[in-house]
Amino acid sequence: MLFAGITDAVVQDYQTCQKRRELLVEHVRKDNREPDRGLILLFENFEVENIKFNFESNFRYFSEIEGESACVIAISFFEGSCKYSLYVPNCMKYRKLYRGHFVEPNIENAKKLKFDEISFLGNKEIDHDYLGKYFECSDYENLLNLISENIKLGAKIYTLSPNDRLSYYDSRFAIDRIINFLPDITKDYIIDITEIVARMRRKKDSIEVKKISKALELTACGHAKMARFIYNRWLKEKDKRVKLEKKEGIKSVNSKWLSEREIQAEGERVFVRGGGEPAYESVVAGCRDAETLHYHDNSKYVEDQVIVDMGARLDGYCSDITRTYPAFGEFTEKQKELYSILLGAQECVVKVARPGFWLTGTKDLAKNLTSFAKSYLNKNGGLDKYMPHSIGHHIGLDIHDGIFYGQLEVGNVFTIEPGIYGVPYVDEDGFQHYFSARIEDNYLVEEDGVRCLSDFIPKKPEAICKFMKDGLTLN
Amino acid sequence: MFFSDLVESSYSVYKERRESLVKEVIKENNVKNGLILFFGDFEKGESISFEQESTVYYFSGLKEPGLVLAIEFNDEGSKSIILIPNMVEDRKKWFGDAIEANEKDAAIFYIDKIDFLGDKLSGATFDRYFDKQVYENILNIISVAVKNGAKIFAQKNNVRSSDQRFILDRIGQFLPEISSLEGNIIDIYGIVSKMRRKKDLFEIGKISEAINLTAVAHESGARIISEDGTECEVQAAVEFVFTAAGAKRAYCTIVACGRNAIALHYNDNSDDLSAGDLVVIDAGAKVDGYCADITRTYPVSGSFTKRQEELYNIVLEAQKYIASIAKPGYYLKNYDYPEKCLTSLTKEFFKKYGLEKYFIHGIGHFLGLDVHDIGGLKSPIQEGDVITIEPGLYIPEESIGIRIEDNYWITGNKAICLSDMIPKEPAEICEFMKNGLSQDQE
Repeated sequence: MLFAGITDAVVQDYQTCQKRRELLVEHVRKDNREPDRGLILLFENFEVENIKFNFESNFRYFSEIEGESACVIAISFFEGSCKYSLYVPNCMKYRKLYRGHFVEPNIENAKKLKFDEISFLGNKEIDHDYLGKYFECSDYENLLNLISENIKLGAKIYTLSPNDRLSYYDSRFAIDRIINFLPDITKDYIIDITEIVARMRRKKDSIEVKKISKALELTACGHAKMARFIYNRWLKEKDKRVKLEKKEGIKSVNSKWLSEREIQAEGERVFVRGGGEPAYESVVAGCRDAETLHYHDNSKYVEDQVIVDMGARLDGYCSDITRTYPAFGEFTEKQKELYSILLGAQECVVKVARPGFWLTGTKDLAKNLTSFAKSYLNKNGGLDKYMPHSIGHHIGLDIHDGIFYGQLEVGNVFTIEPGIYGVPYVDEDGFQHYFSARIEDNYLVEEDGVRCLSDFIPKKPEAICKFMKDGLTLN
Repeated sequence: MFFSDLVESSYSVYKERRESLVKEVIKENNVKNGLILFFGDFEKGESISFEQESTVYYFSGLKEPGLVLAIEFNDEGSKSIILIPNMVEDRKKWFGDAIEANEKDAAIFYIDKIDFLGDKLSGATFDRYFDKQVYENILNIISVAVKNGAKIFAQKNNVRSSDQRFILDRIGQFLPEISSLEGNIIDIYGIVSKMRRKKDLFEIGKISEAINLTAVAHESGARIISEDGTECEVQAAVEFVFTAAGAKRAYCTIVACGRNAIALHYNDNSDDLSAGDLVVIDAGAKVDGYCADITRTYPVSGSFTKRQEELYNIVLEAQKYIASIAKPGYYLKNYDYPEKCLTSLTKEFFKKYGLEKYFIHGIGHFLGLDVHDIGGLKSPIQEGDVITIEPGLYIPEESIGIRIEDNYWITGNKAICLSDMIPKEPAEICEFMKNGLSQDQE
């Protein structure tokens, strides 16, 4: 047993990662006025006890090494030559005992993973199955030596160390700790490469698109399960209500017949059974809490309709899909009218989106996709005031991928997700209702437009109802 | 066993705990005035659900990320202040409810005052690399306390919460007068640990609720095991029960078939189940902050082989033996007192069968707000502790891993099993897989 997840299928991925590392060196040199010498460091996250290990997506992108915490990729370049090294924590004995896997530093592994060499971070053996965040100088000895040598020779350190973002905490933490241990280094030696890496990662290659598509298939199965679950629950409830009315002559007032978390549990079960996991905290919003954007307590009961924002992560890659289901099996006329406008907004954005457009954050309204959605909603019933968020975000190894939201480029994968929340209306019997819905799909940017990667998950009003009755019908 | 029905749940509980804490701190450190600081954890990203730092939760019952609990005390008494990141409006927009810095919320939570940590922030997430202005109010409180000669108390050595240490380091950077933390901040990990270990009835009730839900989850897992099943299918069936009840898993669920069970923390759960093998399910729910931690071992094919049953019974006997002797004065793992060390005694037990080298971990750990709850394994068991007793045998030569784990409440003279509704006799295990929990146990 070498380490988790090693199969022939990923050998190809190791080659891809090698190319990505080479390209990274190229970009780093170009963006920093071609320095003779430099050292690029990419840190895997640290492990925290009893919490499922959360991998660092850039480390994963440049190595495809899975489930090994606290490793470091170190690339030293000098004039034309580069050395690609992988550093692993010295906890082989306990890691093998407790986890059954470990990247042993040897030539075979280096060859397999496409690194020039694999070394221990430090020479002292750690008597634990992982290296914690507050590591000691000796735990990092070999890497510290490499850094010192490079600094002495005039190299700078290129790494993920942004000052102003809610991200890369472990990488920033490791850098701070290194600076603490090495008196020769100051912050001036550290150059942030967040933007370079984000630019690379936003452009997906065919392997990545395939992995996102696989995650989407699993997501589709989850949504199919939930859609059917809601419908079957309604059939049961309807039956109960009919019987009650016949027997006792009273109309049911039970408003707690379908809880949000039951729907969540059905969907997530499908994800886990399929070898995946929820890509983010699932949102099941069937009540007025839908008007809270990141509501994920899922602790209430479904009223008129339910927004289900749930995507699977599979093999590292995220999908992000939202569907809105009517609670009673069919959309009412008013729900259908509002829902159709929202779907129209999504279609309108899909039609115009192409390279050069922005998701948001540009004053050039002719190229701003969020403005397109809002102006469509405005023209159709003035619904734009019910949409408080932007049109979408990139997805990939992270659910909010790519960090810097520039213009769309060929190879980007992103979401288009218009939503309206709390639209008030009065039904035929004079009761007040609030309509909330979001429709979200994932798209790949191509040269002349965008291609929907999730078009097998129904979304037209009639198709949604059929989906709830019959589940997924794949061609 | 729903103790929580008997015990009124209220935020006054947390106030009482804070008062006891102050008493202990005064007694142990022989001081008159001081400032105790606890820091809430930060959010860890979009794919990880937020969990409050357990000690903060224990003393406040609050789940707000990034908050600080400051307890000032002097001759006249003590005062508890909660400081929250200044971004209430954005948090309401994105997450719905948020604590507000006003008297109404202070009264609800039995806190003397709720204030902002410092300047207003943009966005709805508190950045752990916060600036000085964002933390200004709490920095002022600390400065004033130091000037007045008050001692500062915090948890310094809690390895499980590296965020505490991180914030203390960051405060040290902003406040040169306390930058040499070693001298100026007194560690109260020991006092906190002593308090948190002794569970009250309210807490036993919460742990029992988590165990009850875990029982249903194990039933769901046990019943789905089949020769053509997969590990992740079993995991999905177990965690389904947690999610549907609005609970979370207390730790990474382990479903380890055959050889996989030999790696103790295996949680890839990516293999097929295979006929004739044993499968270890180690899964527990977290309900209202409190954890359950239960392991059962099932035969994939629905019945044990002779050899499997022989080994299984040895593990079960070991557990019964340890449970029968566990009481205050014994140790979970302290080799200085082998005759009172439950781990050593388990090894001795397995030695009778020549199997001691296949028992490769400690006999158990404390359980509570954390699944590996606060408290040193080397200190003696005390009344009020909740512990796990989880002997296991891991035999690579036979590709067999067996573990049986239950949760026990230590009273004056014995250990009471809180999880005895989950079957574990070999015959019961097979029945459990076929028909689930029998009705009269519901």
